[in-house]
Amino acid sequence: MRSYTSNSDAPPAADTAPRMTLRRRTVHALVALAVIFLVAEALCRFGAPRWVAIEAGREQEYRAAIAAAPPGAASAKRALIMGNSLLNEGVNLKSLRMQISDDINLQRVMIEDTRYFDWLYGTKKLLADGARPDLVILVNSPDQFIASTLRGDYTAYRMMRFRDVFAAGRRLSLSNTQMADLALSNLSAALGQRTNVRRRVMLAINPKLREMMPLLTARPEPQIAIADAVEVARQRLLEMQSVAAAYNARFILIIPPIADKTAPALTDAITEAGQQAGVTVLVPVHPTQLDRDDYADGYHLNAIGAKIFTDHLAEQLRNLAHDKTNPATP
Amino acid sequence: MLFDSPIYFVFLTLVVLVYWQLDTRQKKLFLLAGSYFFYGWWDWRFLGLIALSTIVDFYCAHLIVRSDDAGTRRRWLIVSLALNLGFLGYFKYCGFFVDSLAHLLTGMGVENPNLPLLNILLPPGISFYTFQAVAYIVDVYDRRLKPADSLTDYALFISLFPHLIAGPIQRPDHLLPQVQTPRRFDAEQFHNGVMLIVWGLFRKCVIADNCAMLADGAFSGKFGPPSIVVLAIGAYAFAWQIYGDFSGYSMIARGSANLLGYDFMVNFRQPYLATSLQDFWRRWHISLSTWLRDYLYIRLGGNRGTNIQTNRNLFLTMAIGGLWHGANWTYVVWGALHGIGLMIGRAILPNSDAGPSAASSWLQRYRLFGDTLGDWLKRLAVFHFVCLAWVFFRAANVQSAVEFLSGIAVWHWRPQFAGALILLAMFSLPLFAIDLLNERRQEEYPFEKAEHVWQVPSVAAVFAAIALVAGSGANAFIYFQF
Repeated sequence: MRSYTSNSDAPPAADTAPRMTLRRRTVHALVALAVIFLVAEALCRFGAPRWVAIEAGREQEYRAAIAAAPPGAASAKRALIMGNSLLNEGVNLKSLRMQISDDINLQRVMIEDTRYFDWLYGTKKLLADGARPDLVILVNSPDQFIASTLRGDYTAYRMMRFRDVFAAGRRLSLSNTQMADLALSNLSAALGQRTNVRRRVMLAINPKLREMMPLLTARPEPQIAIADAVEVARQRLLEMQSVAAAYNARFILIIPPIADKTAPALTDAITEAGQQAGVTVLVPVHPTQLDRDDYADGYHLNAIGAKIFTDHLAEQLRNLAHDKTNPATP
Repeated sequence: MLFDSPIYFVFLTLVVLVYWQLDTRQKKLFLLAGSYFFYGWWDWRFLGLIALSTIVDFYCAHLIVRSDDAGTRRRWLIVSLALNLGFLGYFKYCGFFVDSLAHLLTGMGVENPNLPLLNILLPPGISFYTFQAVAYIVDVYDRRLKPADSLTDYALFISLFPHLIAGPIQRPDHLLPQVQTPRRFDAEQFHNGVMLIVWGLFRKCVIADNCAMLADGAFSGKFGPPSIVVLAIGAYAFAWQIYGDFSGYSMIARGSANLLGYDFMVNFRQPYLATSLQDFWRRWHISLSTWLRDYLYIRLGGNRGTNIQTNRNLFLTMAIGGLWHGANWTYVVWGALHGIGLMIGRAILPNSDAGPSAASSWLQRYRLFGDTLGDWLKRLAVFHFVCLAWVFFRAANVQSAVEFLSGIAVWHWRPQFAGALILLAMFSLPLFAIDLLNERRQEEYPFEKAEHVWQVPSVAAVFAAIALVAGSGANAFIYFQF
């Protein structure tokens, strides 16, 4: 080992030939590192959306959302429905589309493990990128809607505009390092997707992780007083409404049921916040209306639960579309 | 700026590129400005604190040297120590002592002791730069070191960014002469720096961050109530997490310094291959253990007194060393356990000179990876003692640590533990193998002395591993909180 602990003697002088070799070695090592990074960047940016099914699906949904209004009934409203795995597992999209096709033309954007702030900035980006829905619909559980976290690198990469990164950082009291990392993740696909890549590689190496991960990712129950939850939700509903209104759209929050002790009270709190803010909050199925048997894992609905929820949601959306008192109704 | 964050590498690249274009004086000023920027990036409010401490120590050292009067010299030494240790005491320990006093009074029956509730922010790196400043002023006082002629040199010695936040704690006689002499580009040193950074990132992002997931799960109760399996997952995972984390950090710090033409002392030498606790402390956090030895243990009397005095000095040094890590009784217990372990080691080791018994000669006969079975048994014993002590280091409080350890008598198996144990093996065994290789070849990282043809592919493979299986970036370096 070259280093020492107790003196500052200069290392012995190397002669010129080994120095050149070392310089070449260093250059080769640095070039190797740069090439690996560039290959990773290219694979994540151009390869993943084509070859990785989940990424391809997200890319397709995003492009469809920002494209011109898809074909549908002439009088149908264009709606953008956004959410996470609760939307994916709890809403049978095909069935919902069929049930409301005369009134609403639905376009979905789904990204797992996302919450309020992910979608606040995600909505801004979607609208700025060209999405022009009449209705902006967010599907979030009560705890997700009042949570003050970001998914992280992936949100920065896929769901944020560069200028929103710093606003988000200030709002969430992120450190300078966290903020800068978000900014770099916004620019680099390799950095933005590193958590996803890692998850896939780890599961491929150790399939038993699939059993273990739910233990580690168990959600802590939200620790918030109901009065505070009402106020936080009211402000967030107003904020989302103003983002949507800037593009002549109307914001709707849909609260899906989850089997959580705090869910009923928080669902009621957010409904109350919606009434106070004048923003529509739909609760197609209250958490108290479902049994444990309607859930796949205590959080996501199973096929039976999803059918109940989808049918109720379709009915409420149809009613909403026919509600002539609503300024956004055609 | 965390050393494993992308922004650190943007910063480091810019600093290195500009730095080598400058002349000696410009280099120092640029590096000083860069180091203060680096510190201010953490929290600009504490820049004044480090600047004040630097200026006072610089002038105190000169006032000590200028005077031949023992009383005057002693006075300036006390001024400097009071300032440094006062800052450390206030920012790091004030809340802890007030809190402990409140608990004590409550325990004695005083209702609502009404002590002020202190919520003091801890300046980043204060424990590290304070120890470095104390070493400087004490060495000057002892006439072992000539004080820095220039405030810029001294300020750079204290604040050089690769060691500023979490060490390695640099000795004045090692780093100050480097600051004072022109830094010349050395291809070997630069190459070594790149390698150290890549291998350090591997230790932190691949080993430590993945083990952290398991340790956090076990200690937070996500694996269920304490049982021997949960204890094993938690203690082993944390042992490899903290080792990968801090040794990785130290390698990145040393590598970053090398890119700037500086050499920092080695901080880790395969600590889990130690055959005694004394050996462990010669291999673990060497910059702290040697600091504690030179500036605390020896000053308390070291091993010059009676056996009881030596044991007392050992115990005190380790307990204070424990408290240095953080304002929590868990660290004191951790240090005290190591102190007791060292005392027991002192009592046992001399007896081993009495000649090998039949059992030990049998253990010396068989060899594994070049070492005797006896050595491996000693390593196993030391490793498990260290793991046991880590439980106190990691737990939120002493009570939680005791509850966690009580799981040793409980057997409970869940199918999910299989995934956790496989994950633990996946990320601890590679570091163990790397340590064996490094120990055998006397290298700091694999293939350090190997041919070019081995080095570039190895560094590329390590970088690819970082890209593919690096753990969550949400884990700050453990020692950054100290």
